[in-house]
Amino acid sequence: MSHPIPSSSPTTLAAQAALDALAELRAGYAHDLPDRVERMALALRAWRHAPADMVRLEGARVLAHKLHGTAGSYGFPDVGEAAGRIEDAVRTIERTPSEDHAAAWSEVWTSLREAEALALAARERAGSPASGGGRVQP
Amino acid sequence: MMRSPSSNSSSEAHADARRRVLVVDDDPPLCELIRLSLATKGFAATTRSTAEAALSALSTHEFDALVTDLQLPQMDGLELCRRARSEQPNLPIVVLTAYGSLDSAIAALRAGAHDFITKPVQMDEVGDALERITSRVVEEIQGEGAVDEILGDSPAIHRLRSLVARAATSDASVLITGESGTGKELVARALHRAGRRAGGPFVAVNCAAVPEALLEGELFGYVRGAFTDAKTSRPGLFHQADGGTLFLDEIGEMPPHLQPKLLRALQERAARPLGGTAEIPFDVRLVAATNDDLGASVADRRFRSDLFFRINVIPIEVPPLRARGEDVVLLARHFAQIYAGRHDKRAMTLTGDVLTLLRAHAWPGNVRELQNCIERAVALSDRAEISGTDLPDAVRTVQPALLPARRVEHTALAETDPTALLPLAEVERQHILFVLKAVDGNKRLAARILGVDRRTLYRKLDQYEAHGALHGTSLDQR
Repeated sequence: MSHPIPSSSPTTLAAQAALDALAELRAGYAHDLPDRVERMALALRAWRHAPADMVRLEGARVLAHKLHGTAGSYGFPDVGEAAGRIEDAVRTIERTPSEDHAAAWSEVWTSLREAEALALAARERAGSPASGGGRVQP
Repeated sequence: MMRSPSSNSSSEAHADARRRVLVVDDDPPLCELIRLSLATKGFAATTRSTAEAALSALSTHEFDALVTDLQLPQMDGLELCRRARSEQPNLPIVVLTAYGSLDSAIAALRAGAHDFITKPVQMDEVGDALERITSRVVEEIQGEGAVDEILGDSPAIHRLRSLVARAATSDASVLITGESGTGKELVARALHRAGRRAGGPFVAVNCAAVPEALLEGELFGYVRGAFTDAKTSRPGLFHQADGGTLFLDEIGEMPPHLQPKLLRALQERAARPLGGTAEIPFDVRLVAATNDDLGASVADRRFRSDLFFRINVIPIEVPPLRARGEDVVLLARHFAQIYAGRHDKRAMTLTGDVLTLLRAHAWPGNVRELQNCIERAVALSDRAEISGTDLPDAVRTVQPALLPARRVEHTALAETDPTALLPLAEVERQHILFVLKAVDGNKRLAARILGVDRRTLYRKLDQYEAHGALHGTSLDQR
């Protein structure tokens, strides 16, 4: 991906290089987004099978929290909001007696399906990343 | 700024002039997104994923700003803010908070952050916030510099500087009190430069020096035709100071009939020019000063109590030089350096006997007297040092502080031939100048000794100046 460079000053060159890198990074994030949602889904299911396991709870909550904060910043606010609803539901489950958990779990699965669909759509829209150089490690 | 140009030897240090930002978030994609977004705005960002790693980076590298998430593993972002502020009080800090988490944002500001941005982060927001904050912090640092212009190392001056720095952050009216020559206007200017109005005008007026009939027009302005000589409209000092600070020196001399108008203007933040039909608003911080006991003036009903309370929101007392201990030596050396430069002389030292005399003198004219004394000594000395013989008689003659009343007893026309037959006006001129010299230019004291009000004294001095008779030339020679 290349852009015309209007000036040869180091600052402009650095800024232009950053813009190029930013575009690649966004494309890479869009490509990876379904995988990130899937990692959150795996963590949620693992915790569902062992609700008393605080390590699994924390793992699911942290992944939902990160996706909540980051997906919107990358330009995928719907995915971020779905992750945010999951994060809130996890907190509700964490803080309330088990007889009140049904609605929260329902919210988790509904929002997860929504996030999965939105993430796949984002990947399709973005196409293949140019070289993989924009990929960021989870 | 927060870094020195040559102190960074790390491989992460950038040799360019871009501002360095430390970005802390435990989500690498977000860190990378912020890093690149900041790069497009001319910042060079370094990323860390924990608070501990960030503190380590801050201790070994120099940064112009810190951007941190609040939720971090182990040590959280709030604690990072606190520790970073503790280590580098001027480091601009922006925190990233979850959407709608106002409590977290407030906690972050209390922990020392300058601003917060809610997630999801709009990338322009980070750069914009950093631009805004770094400019503000630079202004604050410059403001601290302004306060540092109040020289001295005595506890009294340390307290004064601290009070001025705190008062500068507010917009409340300030009343500066202190003896003549202590530096009240210097304090007023420091207040202005250290505050948010530093970019606006600083307008000063001595209320005692303006003829009473003209003071209202000076303060509030007038429109064309308001009075015989009003050929054009003229904005008053309140409007000239719009966006800045208005310094009313010798506020105790404000004529009684103007006091209600001043009070109303301060309350309404608007004033009607003479001859005008509408009030014009102004945005001014008022700083007033006096060497009178305004409380006593209020008790005597010479000064309105409501006006006194309106201008005395933050009282600041400037200590007399005699209460500042070794500051007299510090200031003397400072003035010697300044005046040596001004008079194209080499750096001048002060001999031991000079220091003894300076410490022993009571300095009734305070810093102004010391300043004049040192300038005179520098100008007269033909050596690279100032010795006791270069000092004025009043300083060389070690004696306790003279009360004004006692000085009156010694008043004499010493420089006049006692047998000369002089016109009364010339006797009066010589006597006025003699008294003024004896009290080191303190007009309040001089007026009191002479038994006239200050306005009369100013009027006579203006007359002498107009006739070229202010500095030793007799009225007969005009």
